[in-house]
Amino acid sequence: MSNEPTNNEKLISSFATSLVIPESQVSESLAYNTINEWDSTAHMLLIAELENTFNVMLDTDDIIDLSSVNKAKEILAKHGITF
Amino acid sequence: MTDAARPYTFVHRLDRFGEHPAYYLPSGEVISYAYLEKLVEKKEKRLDEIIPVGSLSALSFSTTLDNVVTYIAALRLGRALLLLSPRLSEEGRTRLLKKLKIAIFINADGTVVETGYTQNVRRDCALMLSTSGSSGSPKSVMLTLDNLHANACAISQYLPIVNEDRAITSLPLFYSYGLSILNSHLYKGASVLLTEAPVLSKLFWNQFSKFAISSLSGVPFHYQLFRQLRLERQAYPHLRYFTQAGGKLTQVQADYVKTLSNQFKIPAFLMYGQTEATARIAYLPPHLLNTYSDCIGRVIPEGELLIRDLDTNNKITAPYVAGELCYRGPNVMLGYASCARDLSLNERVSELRTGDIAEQLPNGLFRIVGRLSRMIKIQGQRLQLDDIEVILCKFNVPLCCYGMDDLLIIGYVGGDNDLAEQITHYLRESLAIHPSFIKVVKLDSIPLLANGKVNYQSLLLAAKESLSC
Repeated sequence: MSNEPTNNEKLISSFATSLVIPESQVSESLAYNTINEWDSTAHMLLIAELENTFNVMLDTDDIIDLSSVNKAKEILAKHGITF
Repeated sequence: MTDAARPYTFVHRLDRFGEHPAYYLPSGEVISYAYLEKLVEKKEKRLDEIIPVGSLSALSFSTTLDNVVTYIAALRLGRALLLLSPRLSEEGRTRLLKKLKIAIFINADGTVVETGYTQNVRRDCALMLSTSGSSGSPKSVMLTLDNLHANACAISQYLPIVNEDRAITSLPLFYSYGLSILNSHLYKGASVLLTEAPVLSKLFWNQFSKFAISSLSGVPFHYQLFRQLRLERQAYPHLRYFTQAGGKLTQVQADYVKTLSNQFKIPAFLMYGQTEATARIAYLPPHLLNTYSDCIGRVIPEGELLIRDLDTNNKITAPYVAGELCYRGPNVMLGYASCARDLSLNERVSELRTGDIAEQLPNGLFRIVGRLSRMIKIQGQRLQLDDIEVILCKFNVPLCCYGMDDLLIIGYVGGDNDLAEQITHYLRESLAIHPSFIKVVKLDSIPLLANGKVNYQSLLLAAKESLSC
């Protein structure tokens, strides 16, 4: 299906949903604890959202390493998700 | 005063533990008890110069050595100190300042602001803790040095804290639970790693391993987080026990605590308490974790727990009969202070009404079955619904709040089309509540009971309806 969102779109939407911020604010450089909205609660919701969306199981190091949008891409790539 | 005449509590004569480490700092620096004693003596002199006798000062309490030294020095000097979250908004700070007439603000970086207020704080009030950390509600708990000492002593009797232990500051120190870890380790001459690294950071877990931390403490939210981190798969040979407090665990969280305890083969202590009782009131002996994780357990040493009938106030002794949980003990606060006048009163609470409804099992364990007060916890953060109603007055519409743990419900009438969003946004900005825990519903009118009071059950129903559609 050509209308299926791309992995990049899915990633942006996961961040926007769990951090409750507009998609336009989700840039590559967006990082943990740099905006008030990305606190520990939002981080946990984000991890759950990413695990569901991409059907992956992140491990402890992945979860604490996932400190920016860029880093999220790198980690998901390790699990076979391409961007 | 000669050394011998000095009152001897957990904050005095710190050099009796000699060169044993009191604090580890993330830089690798080690602060011995002997050196800590010197730092505190120096700080006492400084505080004596800047804080007028009888006045109230406030410390924006970050997890740094300098802030900890200030806290200990103020206790020794006998100057009442209010502990504040370093993240408290300017608005909240101003509200507190006016209400409690705070004379001196000590910022987290050590700078001092004099406000010009004077006070006549009762002499036995050593420390004040906020009842809801971040909302800037002036309602605070007044504690004595004896309260702190007694609770630290009781805690170190039921927790296996030993001299060689190294705890980590996984909780903020302005919060009674976090502070109780600091106090009980000081009481025992044990060590604490003072780190500001958030629990959800790589730095925290690196330090956790590097400093061979011996105990891990968290509120239910932390155990949810540990579960998501899949902590049970890690190897921490230095870890000796877990503690949990700050609210009732859900079934899933309780099961996870059992998993952690079994996997690491170490005990986990579920604990119950309130800031009004300095910190701890009861604990579940860890060998009962598998069968009684829904109980708060038994009372701490030197304390007494009782259940009172909600109507007659009589003591209930029969098992499985619910009533209000009440507590007596040397750690019960002097009382609340919401304004400057309260600070000079002479009364003292003899029996603490916890606001929780509990029953006792035939084997003596206590179990919480409900709550009387209008208080909820969002991710472990205590919120008074009445305070939220006051804070939201700024939107100038009729509104009312209700809720349960992890769900704050706000009903309002009229206003702009995007008012619900504005309210959610404001609560997130000012109180750091994630929008997923807030439900704002527009009502035709505020539902009232026949007696004119707000019908909160009807608000709950309205929220449930809008959640399901």
